[in-house]
Amino acid sequence: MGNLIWHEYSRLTAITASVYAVWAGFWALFYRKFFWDFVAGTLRDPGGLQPARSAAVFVTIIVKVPVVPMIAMLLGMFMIVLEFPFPQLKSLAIHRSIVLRIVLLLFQTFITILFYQGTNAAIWSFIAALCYTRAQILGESMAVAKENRGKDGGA
Amino acid sequence: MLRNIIRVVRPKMTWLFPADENIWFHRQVAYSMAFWAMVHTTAHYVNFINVERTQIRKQTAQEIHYTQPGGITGHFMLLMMFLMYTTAHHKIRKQCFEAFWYTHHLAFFFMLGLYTHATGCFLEVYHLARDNLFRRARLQGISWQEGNRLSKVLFIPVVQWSFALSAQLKYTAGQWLFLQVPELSGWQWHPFTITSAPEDPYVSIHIRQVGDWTRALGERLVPSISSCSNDPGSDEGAEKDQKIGGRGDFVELDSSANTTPFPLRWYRCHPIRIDPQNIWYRQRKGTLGTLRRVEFFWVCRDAPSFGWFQSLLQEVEAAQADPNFLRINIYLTQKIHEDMLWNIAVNDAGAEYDPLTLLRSRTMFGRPDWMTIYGQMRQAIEGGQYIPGSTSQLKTKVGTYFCGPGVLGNAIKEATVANCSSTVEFTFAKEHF
Repeated sequence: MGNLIWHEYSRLTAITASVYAVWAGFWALFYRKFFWDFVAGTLRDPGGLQPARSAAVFVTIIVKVPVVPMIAMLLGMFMIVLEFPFPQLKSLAIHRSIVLRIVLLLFQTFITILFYQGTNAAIWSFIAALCYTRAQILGESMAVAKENRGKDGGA
Repeated sequence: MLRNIIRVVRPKMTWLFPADENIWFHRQVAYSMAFWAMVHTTAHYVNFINVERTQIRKQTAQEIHYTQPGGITGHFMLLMMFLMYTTAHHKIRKQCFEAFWYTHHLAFFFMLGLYTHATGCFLEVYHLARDNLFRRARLQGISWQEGNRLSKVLFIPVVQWSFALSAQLKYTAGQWLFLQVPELSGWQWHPFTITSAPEDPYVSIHIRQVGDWTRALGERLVPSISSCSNDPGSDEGAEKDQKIGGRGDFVELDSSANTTPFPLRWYRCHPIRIDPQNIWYRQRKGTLGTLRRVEFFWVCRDAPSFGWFQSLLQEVEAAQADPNFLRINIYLTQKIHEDMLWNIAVNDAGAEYDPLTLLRSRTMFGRPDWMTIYGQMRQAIEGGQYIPGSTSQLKTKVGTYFCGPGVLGNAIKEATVANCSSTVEFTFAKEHF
């Protein structure tokens, strides 16, 4: 077998998942729906699924004020910027942190699974997080950006 | 990629789609699929939420997405595309080809998903026809022939393997074959350019030992070499090559025909390039067509790397009646030691043959400047010095056939594009594996 560098592969999966998250969050601003509203919800004709009263908090942050989709978009954009990476981020140590990526991707999974459009983004982000976890377990480390080599205390 | 079908279709259908650049075309199709999958999926996410709200069908959006065939297959296809596209990145393919190769076989399940995605859709007929074609091509692709004997091994430690398959194999210049060694892996087929010419009585390929598969192949060949008797001609070859490499690591061996250490399977693939040996044969037969001149460029890092090709080039060069027909340009890009520099300086001056390659053509050092090379060639053609008798009314076509790393290919392509003029047309073709 060839030697797969897991964090380089994870980068590609994370970018794809994050692009999906941004796109899903964008559409969730216009078509607002709590994904888990079928749990104890009632189907009204017309009107669609009405979430249970216990899910009121999710209705507030997804349907009334779409905070969750906005967070998903911002997080997704940050992930893209971090992964590409954005030139300004290159000089920071977080650019090379695999652990940070795992945490952010798991958070992205959690955020995107809450709203209707985000389920694929959630699955893909989870896969990306698993790939980064594999990289972390194998003890891979990301190369220092060329311009930072030899600098003290830098990335 | 249905290579066998491409092989048949290629000469006939190039006007319709870029069959010569079929891998490029494959990628363009993939990009367009990704785009339209995005449009399609986005539209369905809007459309299902509207179905739920209006209750035009008494269903929830989640039911349509996750319990009905269309929705389920759609999501699975997206997941498969996610895995296939991410592993197909050139970085991943280079690191771990298996990760790409096996994941890409999800295409089979992708197709299954596609038939059932829109049940009752007329597209199915087309898809079924295509899948049938796909499966038949794949099965026929494994129309390997067993029992080929290894008849010759050219041995340079850790650098190259060449072995001849003594089989009646019909092929044209520049074709490649896929090799499978079941003992190493029952699944892996490795492509190699056929380095022999169709007129040769044997089939040979050169294998650089760079990956685990090629190394394992090398290890398997070593015992067979030690058990073989030495070919009387090999001493001469070894001596000759000692001069090139500066080390006595070039041994040519002939094994008797029935010492194949393991079975090999292979099948042919389509042609892409012109190689000097084939030109030589065609020159002898007088079937060159409109081909007037050939410039052969070989760029390599160090002298031992072209050891295995040297004897062939020497033969071709020696056979040239017209010194202008074939020009061999060899470039050494390695940093040169001072010792070597003096050695060359002492031996080169006044010698008939180049001290490094033993060819009449001189070796050049450093990287070739393609812009200048192509610019000069264009000027020479336009000035009528390059091809005697050509006039400016006729358009001269200069084809470049490239095999090598992508970065170098890009530089050459840039030079070919930049130097096109109204009278000289430069074309560029790259060998893809």
